[in-house]
Amino acid sequence: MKKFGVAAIGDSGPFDLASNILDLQNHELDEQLSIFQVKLVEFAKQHNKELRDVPQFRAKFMRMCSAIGIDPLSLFDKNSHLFHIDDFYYQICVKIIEICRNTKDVNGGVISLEELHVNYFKNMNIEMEDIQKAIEMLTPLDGGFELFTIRKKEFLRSVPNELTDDQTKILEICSILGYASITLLRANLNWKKVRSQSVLDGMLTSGLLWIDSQSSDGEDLYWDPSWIIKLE
Amino acid sequence: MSVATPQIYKFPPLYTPQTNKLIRKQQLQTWESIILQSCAQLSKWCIGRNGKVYNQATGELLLSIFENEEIQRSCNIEFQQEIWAFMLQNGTALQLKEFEDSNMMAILWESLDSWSSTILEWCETSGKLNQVITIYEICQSDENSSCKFYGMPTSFCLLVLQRLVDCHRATLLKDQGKVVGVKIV
Repeated sequence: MKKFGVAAIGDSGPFDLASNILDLQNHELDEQLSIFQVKLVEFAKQHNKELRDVPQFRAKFMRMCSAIGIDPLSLFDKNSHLFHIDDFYYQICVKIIEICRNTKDVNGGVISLEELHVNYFKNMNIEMEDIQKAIEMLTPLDGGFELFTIRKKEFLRSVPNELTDDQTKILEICSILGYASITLLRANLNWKKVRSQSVLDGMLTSGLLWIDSQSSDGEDLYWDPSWIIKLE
Repeated sequence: MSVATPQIYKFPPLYTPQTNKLIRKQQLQTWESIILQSCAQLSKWCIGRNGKVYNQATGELLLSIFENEEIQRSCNIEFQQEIWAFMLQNGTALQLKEFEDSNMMAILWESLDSWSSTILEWCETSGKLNQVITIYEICQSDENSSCKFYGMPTSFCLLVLQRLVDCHRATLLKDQGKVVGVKIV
């Protein structure tokens, strides 16, 4: 094909040129943005006191941060008490509530703290203790958030219905292999079939467990969705 | 060629339709994203209704998405249908006319709009504007092998080009009712 104008210079000439310029621009923009972010964090550290004392200033500052894509959580420096230390935990609280609402349809409102930490908070330098403290701060809200322990592992329940003893026991069994079944319940807890079946069915309905009808021995298995993060 | 799948792909109950309505919806969404991700990773635009993807040249089975041998679980036909119905409804899968017999689905891991702008961008940067180019040149030509749309099936490409026609950026040239080329302006 005969080429005219600039295209005649070289085969890949104009193509490379255009993409080079675009790349360069992208790169520059990225750089500028990251410099700006660093400056903003610096600014926040310098004017920490004012930020802490003047709520209006703080709100405006936060809005600016979110506009250029800085998660307010990443601005907090726990040790140097950037802002007020409580704000740090309030932000975590908000995040936790958000996560619980988003994952409610998968796990029926029960999430393990491990999952919270690994999936959502780890890359923000937030420790398990911080999460626990934030959850404590949620209690006065009376929103039904509650911690409970199954075999030394902590779980957060974000739906207001209380777990019965039977349900807790089943979750205990689930924390060993990931699932429970009527046979397992009979072997471990000596439950009759009727009892196991009715509790398991109830938990299916409320979304606490997922059913699996393809096990090798033909028995229905009831899986705990918090097992998902343990799968390789 | 293997695909990276999310952890939930190894969760046995994912292959059994859940009874709880909310969870079932979540489950369908999970399947949708697994299918979209896998097709994107393999750069495949079409997948069989049975979830199988073959290498066109060698006929080798690349992926059978509804079967997970590792944990011995698979989705039954009814559930597969339900997943497709869900995706058709969401517009993330399409039943292409010429595929109806062969049970193939087109997967939109990127929307038609986004594909059309990718092709437009390519035309602009490679100086293909205002000249007639064939569909083959866009999808199969070796000089485009690094492009995202390299290997796109013709019928799929026509859908994308139709988008450009709709916004008056392209004209399709037809010969005996068959599209032979396109001019993008």
